[in-house]
Amino acid sequence: MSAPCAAWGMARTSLTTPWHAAYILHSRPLAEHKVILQLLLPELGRLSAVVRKRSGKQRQPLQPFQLLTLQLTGSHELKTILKLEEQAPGIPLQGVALLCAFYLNELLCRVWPDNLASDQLFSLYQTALQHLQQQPAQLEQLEPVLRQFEFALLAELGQPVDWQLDASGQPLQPQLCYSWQHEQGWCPAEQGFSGLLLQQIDQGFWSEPGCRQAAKKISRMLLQPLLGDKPLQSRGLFSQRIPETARMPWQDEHS
Amino acid sequence: MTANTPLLQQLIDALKALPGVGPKTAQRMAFQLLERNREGGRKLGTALLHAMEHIGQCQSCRTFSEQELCAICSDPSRSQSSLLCVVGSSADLQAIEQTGQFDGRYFVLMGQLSPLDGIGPAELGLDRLEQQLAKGDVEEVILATNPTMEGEATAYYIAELCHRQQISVSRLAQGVPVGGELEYLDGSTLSHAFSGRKRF
Repeated sequence: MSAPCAAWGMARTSLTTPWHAAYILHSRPLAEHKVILQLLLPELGRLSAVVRKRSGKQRQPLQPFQLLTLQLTGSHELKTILKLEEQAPGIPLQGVALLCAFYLNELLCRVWPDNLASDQLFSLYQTALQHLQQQPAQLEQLEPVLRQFEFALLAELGQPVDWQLDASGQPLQPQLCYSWQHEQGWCPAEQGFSGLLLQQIDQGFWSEPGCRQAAKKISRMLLQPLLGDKPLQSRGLFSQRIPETARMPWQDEHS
Repeated sequence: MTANTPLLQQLIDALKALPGVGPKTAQRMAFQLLERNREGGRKLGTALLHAMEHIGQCQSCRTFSEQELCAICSDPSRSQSSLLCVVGSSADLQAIEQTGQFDGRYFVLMGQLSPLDGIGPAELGLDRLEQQLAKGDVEEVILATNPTMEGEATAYYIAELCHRQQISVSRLAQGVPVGGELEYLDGSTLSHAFSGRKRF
């Protein structure tokens, strides 16, 4: 095909190709003028796509936490981005909230399978980012956002946590202890998480330090099989040296 | 089955270490050197070998240097400056040096915080930066990390280190580039330009 015909074909394709909302989760250089993006899209889930850094004179807005609209092409797993535009101003995340947002991105890239479609994932992610931005930069306010996202993510992956009923369908009792059994749920046990704490997590008593700590332990326990042996870099990166004021909500107090 | 001789294949594989160079480009480069520029190839090989063996990092600022201290850190007028500029790479340092605007010292991170790429505080030498700050001779740290989200996270982390040592911190301004056209700017850059506008 001659060059003008090819250009005409491309223009015609871009007119008929649907536009998708998307967030960039990660980018890495492919060549001098191209990058490979990890994208999160409504319905399509997470996928990889190649894009040019510039479109004509214009530098492409290729930052995470910025709602984009884009056109994808390609029948293979790795797509190509035909056009990309900003759909809304970037979410102005700063400080600990920004680091938390990077944690969400790493978590998604690690546990969400490539090209697995999801109805809810995109809006869950978007809501979490908005909540991170709205909260003051204090751990008590940021931790619940991460926990709620983690539990919602697990539910989307087919591993929901029932905070009201145990494995046999009986309501959780505040005076009993429960342990988590894979593919069953909460089972009464001599040691484990108290029913009271599980009820507090269900009711969002996040101002209670015990409730936040239990939620963190449960989320870590449930995410562990999905993460495998390789730990989340975000946890390790900040474990030793993060200043007290910026200690990450996913860190243990003494790690 | 490859038709290349072992040495040729070795050269092609080695050239793939260059950024943005895949198998095809590496093969083209190898053929170009062998067919047209063997002298250039020899010089390239020698220069690469010497560079890899003799270029290290400055013990003070971490930029590339063949000595223990780089030229800037060896200059008493600069090494005693109370201004410390933190940059992401040696290329950023060179860019600032070319402006002639800054006569303080530098600290080169050689990257920026990026959990998904496995780059954390240790990889950026932030322990060494903290030791330098603890000496007490820095009055202001200028954060010249890239205006990206990773650069912002890095700047925040370093700012926290500075605050703990009660050192003043500033960040490079962000906005419209000289010679730029507003209609081609992305919304985030324009927003920064508006929020950081100056009285005229």
